[in-house]
Amino acid sequence: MVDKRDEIDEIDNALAERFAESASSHVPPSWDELFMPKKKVIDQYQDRRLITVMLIAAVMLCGLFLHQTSTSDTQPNKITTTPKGIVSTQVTPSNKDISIIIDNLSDNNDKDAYIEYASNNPTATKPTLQREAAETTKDSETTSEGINESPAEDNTKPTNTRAKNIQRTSDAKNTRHAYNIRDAKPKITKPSRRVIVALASSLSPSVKNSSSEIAMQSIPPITINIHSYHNSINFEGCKWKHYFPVNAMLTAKYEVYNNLYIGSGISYSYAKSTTQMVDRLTYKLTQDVNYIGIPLSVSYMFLDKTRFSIYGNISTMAEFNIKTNRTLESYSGNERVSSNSKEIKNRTPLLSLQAGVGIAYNMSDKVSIFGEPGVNLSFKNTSHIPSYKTESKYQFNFRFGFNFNL
Amino acid sequence: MHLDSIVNRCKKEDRAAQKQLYELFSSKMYSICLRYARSQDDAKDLLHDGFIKVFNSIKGFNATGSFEGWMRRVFVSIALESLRRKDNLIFTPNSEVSETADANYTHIIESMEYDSLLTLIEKLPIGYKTVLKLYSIEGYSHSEIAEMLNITTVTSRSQLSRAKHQLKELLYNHNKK
Repeated sequence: MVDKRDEIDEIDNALAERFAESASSHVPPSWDELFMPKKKVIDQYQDRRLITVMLIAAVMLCGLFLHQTSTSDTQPNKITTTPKGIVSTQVTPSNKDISIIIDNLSDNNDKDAYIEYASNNPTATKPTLQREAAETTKDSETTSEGINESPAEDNTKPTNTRAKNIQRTSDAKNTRHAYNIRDAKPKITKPSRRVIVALASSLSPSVKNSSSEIAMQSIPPITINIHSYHNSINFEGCKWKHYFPVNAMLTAKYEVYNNLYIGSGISYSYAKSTTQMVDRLTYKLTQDVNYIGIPLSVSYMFLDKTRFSIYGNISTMAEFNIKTNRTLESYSGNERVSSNSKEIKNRTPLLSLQAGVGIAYNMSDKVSIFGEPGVNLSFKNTSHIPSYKTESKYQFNFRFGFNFNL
Repeated sequence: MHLDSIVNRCKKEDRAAQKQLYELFSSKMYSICLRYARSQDDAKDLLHDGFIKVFNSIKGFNATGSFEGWMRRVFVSIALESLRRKDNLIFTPNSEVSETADANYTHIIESMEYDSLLTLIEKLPIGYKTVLKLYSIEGYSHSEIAEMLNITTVTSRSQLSRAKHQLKELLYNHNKK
């Protein structure tokens, strides 16, 4: 060496020895940990995305299967009305006979009576119903005498009205009941469209050690009177730590078609992030971001049972940064030396897309509690203030809350 | 296995030899990284980058000098590059130097925990502590430090002097507690 280390003193020797001793005490990461091809964060997210998509698809398929099963087996005699008020039936293999009978009736009142009868007597047998249809049809074509007081007989029975009445008296109670109610005004209920108001919150995993650049102009100025070493702190290259965000959401959704809902509302999110730089002093930069968002959602209820329901939900949201504060504090040990805040303005909306599958448990007719795991896709824009929303494109979250049926 | 053989195989980009080289030197190089990094994660990044640089530039190594010395130089330059990128590597103007109290600083240093000692050193201004680490711990001369940090040897000497002075104060105060 050209230069000699001629100024070695006790400090140099002591430090050299002390650090040489400790050199072997540090356990380095293994070769595999450092150099073997390992899954990067994005790969892990891709795996999780795949699992989530598969999970959502599986739940949707199960929901669809249960929906189909419940339609064909558990509601064989379900009779509904069309929005125009014309009575009709949902034809299924089990209630096909009823449908045919009703179609054969010429009078709407007769149809109404049969619909109500069949609704109240789902176990009515096919022969009984057929006979009733035949009787009613014939009766309506003969004398007026027999209509209100004595329904018609079938072709194999005597034509005498008196005899028909006697014969009818011996018929089953179900048949009598059908005639007794024939003059009653049928209840035709128009399809009701549900409105659900939801109060929800969502949990997102905190993101640690992200590496968004921090622009110098976005850092509050700081002046420290003791030693004028730093007048401005350069956080370039420092990593943000994003804390668990807080989110609350109020939405309303309206059933536009059977089990299909559209909804909107308002969302509020608060995100806190910190970063710090250790120099002669410790400088801690804290960021508080407040977002207001407007979601727009489409959801479909696959399964709607008495106690619970399963639905799929896709929503998009535009979020606006309403207030962001950055506070720079300096510490000497545990003692705070200085603190200064600065408000950052950035009005660029943050757009995101979310998909999830939820399950709701009905606590009463009006209130249900729900949980909805999902995946959130943020459309990243570098001009946004860095927060947990901008750090990763895909995020998993769990939305939960209460539904109020109006 | 002989180091020369490992180095020669590393020159041929032999993956197994690179792993052997890593296992031989990772502990020493990691301790260098820890001295300059802010956190263990940063130190791992430095270790990774350092070995990548070693593997990429090992063909340029000639056997005239110590291989370990060459590696240390690579790692120190990587660490300094990181410091320049992440910190204001400012060399504080010389301030007044007051008298330091007499004490057995060697004993204080030897009796201190490693982490506590490093924490004390980290409290020094960045210029001071960088020169102190390079001179006292890594063993570089002032001309080498001047070349690495792009400063003059006079600046290196004065930064070292002030660093030792402030470190003595810190050690003295620490010892009093």
